[in-house]
Amino acid sequence: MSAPTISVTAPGATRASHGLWRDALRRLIRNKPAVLGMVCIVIFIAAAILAPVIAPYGPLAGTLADRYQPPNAAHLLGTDTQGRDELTRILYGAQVSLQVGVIAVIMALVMGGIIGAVAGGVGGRIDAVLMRIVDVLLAIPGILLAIGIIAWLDRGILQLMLAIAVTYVPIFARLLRGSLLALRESDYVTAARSIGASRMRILLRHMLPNALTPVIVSATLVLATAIIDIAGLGFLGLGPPDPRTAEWGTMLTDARKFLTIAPWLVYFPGLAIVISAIGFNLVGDGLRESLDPRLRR
Amino acid sequence: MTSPETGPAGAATSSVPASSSVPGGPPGSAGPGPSDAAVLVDVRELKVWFPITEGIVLERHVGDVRAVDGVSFKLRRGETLGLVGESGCGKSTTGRAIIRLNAPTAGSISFDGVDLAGLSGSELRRIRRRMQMIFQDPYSSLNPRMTAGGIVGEPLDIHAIGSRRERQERVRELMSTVGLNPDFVERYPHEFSGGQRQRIGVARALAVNPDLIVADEPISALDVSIQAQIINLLERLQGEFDLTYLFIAHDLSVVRHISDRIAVMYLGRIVELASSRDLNRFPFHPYTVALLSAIPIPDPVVESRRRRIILRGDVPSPAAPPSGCRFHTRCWLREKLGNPEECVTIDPELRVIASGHEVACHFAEKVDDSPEQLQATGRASASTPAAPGTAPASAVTDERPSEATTPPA
Amino acid sequence: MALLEVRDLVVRFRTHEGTIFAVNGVSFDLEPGETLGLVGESGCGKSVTNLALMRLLPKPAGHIEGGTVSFDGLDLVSLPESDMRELRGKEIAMIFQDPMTSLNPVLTIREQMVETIQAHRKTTAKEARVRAIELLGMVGIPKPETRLDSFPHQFSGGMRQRVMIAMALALEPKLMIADEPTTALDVTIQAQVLELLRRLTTDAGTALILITHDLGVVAGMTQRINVMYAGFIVETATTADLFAAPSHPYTVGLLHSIPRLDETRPQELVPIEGTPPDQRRAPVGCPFAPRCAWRLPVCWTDNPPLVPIDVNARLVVSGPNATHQIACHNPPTTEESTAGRPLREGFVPAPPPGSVVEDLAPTEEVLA
Repeated sequence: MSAPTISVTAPGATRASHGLWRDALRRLIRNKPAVLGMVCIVIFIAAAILAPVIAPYGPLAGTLADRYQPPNAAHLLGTDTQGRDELTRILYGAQVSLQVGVIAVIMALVMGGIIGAVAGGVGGRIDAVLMRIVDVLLAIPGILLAIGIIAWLDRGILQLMLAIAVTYVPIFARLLRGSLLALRESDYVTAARSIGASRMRILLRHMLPNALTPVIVSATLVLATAIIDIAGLGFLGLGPPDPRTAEWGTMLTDARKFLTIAPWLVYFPGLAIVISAIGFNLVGDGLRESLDPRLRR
Repeated sequence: MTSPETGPAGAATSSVPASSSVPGGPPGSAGPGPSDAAVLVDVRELKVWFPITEGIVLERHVGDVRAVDGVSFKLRRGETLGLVGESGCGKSTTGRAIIRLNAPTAGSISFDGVDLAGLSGSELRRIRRRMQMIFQDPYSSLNPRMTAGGIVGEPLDIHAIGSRRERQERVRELMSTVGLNPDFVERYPHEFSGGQRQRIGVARALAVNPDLIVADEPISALDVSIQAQIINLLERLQGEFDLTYLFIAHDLSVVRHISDRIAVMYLGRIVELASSRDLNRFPFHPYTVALLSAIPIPDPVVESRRRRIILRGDVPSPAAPPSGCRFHTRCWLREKLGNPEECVTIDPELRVIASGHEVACHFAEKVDDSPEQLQATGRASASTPAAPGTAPASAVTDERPSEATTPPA
Repeated sequence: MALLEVRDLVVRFRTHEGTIFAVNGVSFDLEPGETLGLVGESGCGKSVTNLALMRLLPKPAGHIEGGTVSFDGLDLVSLPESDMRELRGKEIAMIFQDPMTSLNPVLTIREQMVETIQAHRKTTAKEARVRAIELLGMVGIPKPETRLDSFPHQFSGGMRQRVMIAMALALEPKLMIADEPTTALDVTIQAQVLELLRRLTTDAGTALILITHDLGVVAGMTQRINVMYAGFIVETATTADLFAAPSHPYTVGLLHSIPRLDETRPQELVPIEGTPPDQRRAPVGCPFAPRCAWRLPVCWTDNPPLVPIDVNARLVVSGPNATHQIACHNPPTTEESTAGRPLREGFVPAPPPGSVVEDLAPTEEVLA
């Protein structure tokens, strides 16, 4: 028998590869709406982080004499009901949204992920019980659930995070459980079992990395909704208790009464909410498309 | 775990020679190598049933899919046993049961004398090292997020073999053994072609120096020109590393080429077990005959002379196998013999009909030298093409509606 | 006049990631009632050719970028879509590999068949139903009156494929295109379905293009065969000629890659080295060169045209006397064709242009 063939490389793979993530990133960059979304996100994050640096005034600075000023040279977005610079407050408002939003989503991810992983990994009765609890959570409309939690725990930044996190736990639980169940049947997981891998190894090495894709996509989309939820709770008067904190939703509530006198106080926070939420939405959609393993066969 | 049933009815005889490096060699050859090589895998009355449940809140057990329903055979060290059959016959499930990917519902599997049923934990892991599997789909059997090197080296990792450096060396060595450039260890599966991915799968299976490799349809998903490459690779590796193969496939031509012995499965049972050559020249089971006659041969002259045995209807559901002989609903022999009672009432056992040849059919002797068998194996001489008088009762075409109703899915 | 005349068909897919050169100049004829086999492996362009004929290329990426297709005198490439729709199903019918995805899973068979029949003929629903039952009976579905109201998932794979055949033949098309119709089926079911297909097309005089990678299937079913590789036809002949005297290195390679059930001694398989071609590059030279054991230096630069083997023979493009043609600069001799590898003393396949010549064994590493 002749010497073993040295097979040709898959044509086109002449450069060293970086795996699926970088491939996905490249595809993402080509997706125009996603790029737009990324720009929005960058603005949002920059606003939150750089607020102390770029805001023209301090967040608390203002005198009653200056109130209800429409956008002008000194105050680019006008002043609010207490004479504070609106632009500054918008910038600082991003901080609350970003902080609360990101942490709430991470909390939801972790809590929901654990529930989903246990349900999917262990199966049987535990799965059934956990999923029924999740179903109950899902049955309660999100905003009511959040209101209930804050009513129970009192207002505060941490309570806000928790309330929002709990409303999103079911989504992540179901998502991860579903992914894991599907992956359990895939060939490479079977192959891992056949070579003697332990269940933990299979879960961590083979299943989770591949199950995370839809979860990450969801996380970005959930973040978009979370921002709106934070504003919503703020609007209902359940936001951060300190009245001096700039938060977009609370700003909306305060401005509501003065819609006829100072409409810009409603537009600008509203716009900020919309831009941030859309940003995450577009990026989430783009990620979903680009992470789709459309592997060339 | 249920206890193994005693007195396996279908024990293979011991006169089958061990495999030489020429698979499917000359008939009845003693061949180089010991004539009664050690038995590596002993399967007895294996049953693998999957429960069917109904109900939303309370799940009731309403039946079973009897994927494997009483299979017995011995696999000798160094040989290649082909397991062949169509979809739903249970061949893949059998292979997986041996590797312990599916737990047997009944029956026993022994590996090198050790009953696998009682094992767990580290003992099981140690045995696992000695048997590995190659999967069908090269696109889904590799974790897309691991590098080729990571995939091939994972068994070494799991069984903690060698130092890190030694493992890297071994991975490179394995890659080149299967014909891949060792510099590609850092690449991801999607950068390889189908044939190359299958080679990665083979390298992974070889990593821990197994004794047994179960190949579950290893080439079905590949292009024809690549199939031949992989077949040759498997044959070479068998010689080089003294491997025993259980080769599962639906393509009898390929199985015949690579196997020493072949077991034909139908609806969860082995219906015939013989050496590769004997099966091809002297098949005794009507299903085997039909299978042989159905396979298209790349030669128009031969094809035009063939008279196919067209089986009626479809394969019955494994959840409700027919009474008596499972094949009776589609059997041409039964029809030819005027529907004898036994076929519907008595389930035939696998019995020895010739040296090294077993078959599960009440009337297997009648198959020998029948026009159908001669036609299907090409032993009918060119001067006597199937005359209309000899074969029509058995060559059932599908013009007549089949009585075998297809159960709803 | 031939029923179908394809000349220099070129099909490309334009995607973000570049162009795919799927079909690169394919020409063939088909007579009424003739059965033609298109054989090749994945990526050779056999399916794409037929999708192009039917104008069913995936949009927006797929384009016919050259050549003509003439069916019964009509130019299919420039035909308006509405006319094309008239043609599909009625004059040209197609069946696919996986009947589960070509049949709508939420509609009963009756609804789908009646829809097909009524789309092209003015019949009442009742008449269409009668015709549907007749067709199902013709393809061997037991108790067609009751099975008509079943859903696709209630049939087995073989039965579904028969339903597809029934639907395809419902309107008595002149041409039927079967794209890997039995690849997904068990071999005993495959035998049933092929038998059916052959009988029905012969009885009705329908021309058939059978696309497959299985040389055994075409040996028993077709009158002529086109062997395709990388979007080109590399060999064409009557079925008898092709198997009696395979002349292109790819065909020779394919035949030596398949274990034959009727071989009396186990033959060594002589696989074709290398991997299928990358269709993202425009073809340069002969597309088979990287894998060819007979290649000469000219093969790397010059794509050989499809010409008759016997240069003096009169060119006949279709029918039972079709001329045996190949596209090759250095065809194997008869002995080499039987052996599966070159037998010339000291012959070594030419290395790629510009590469450093070190080890000249036939199984050298080839850079794509």
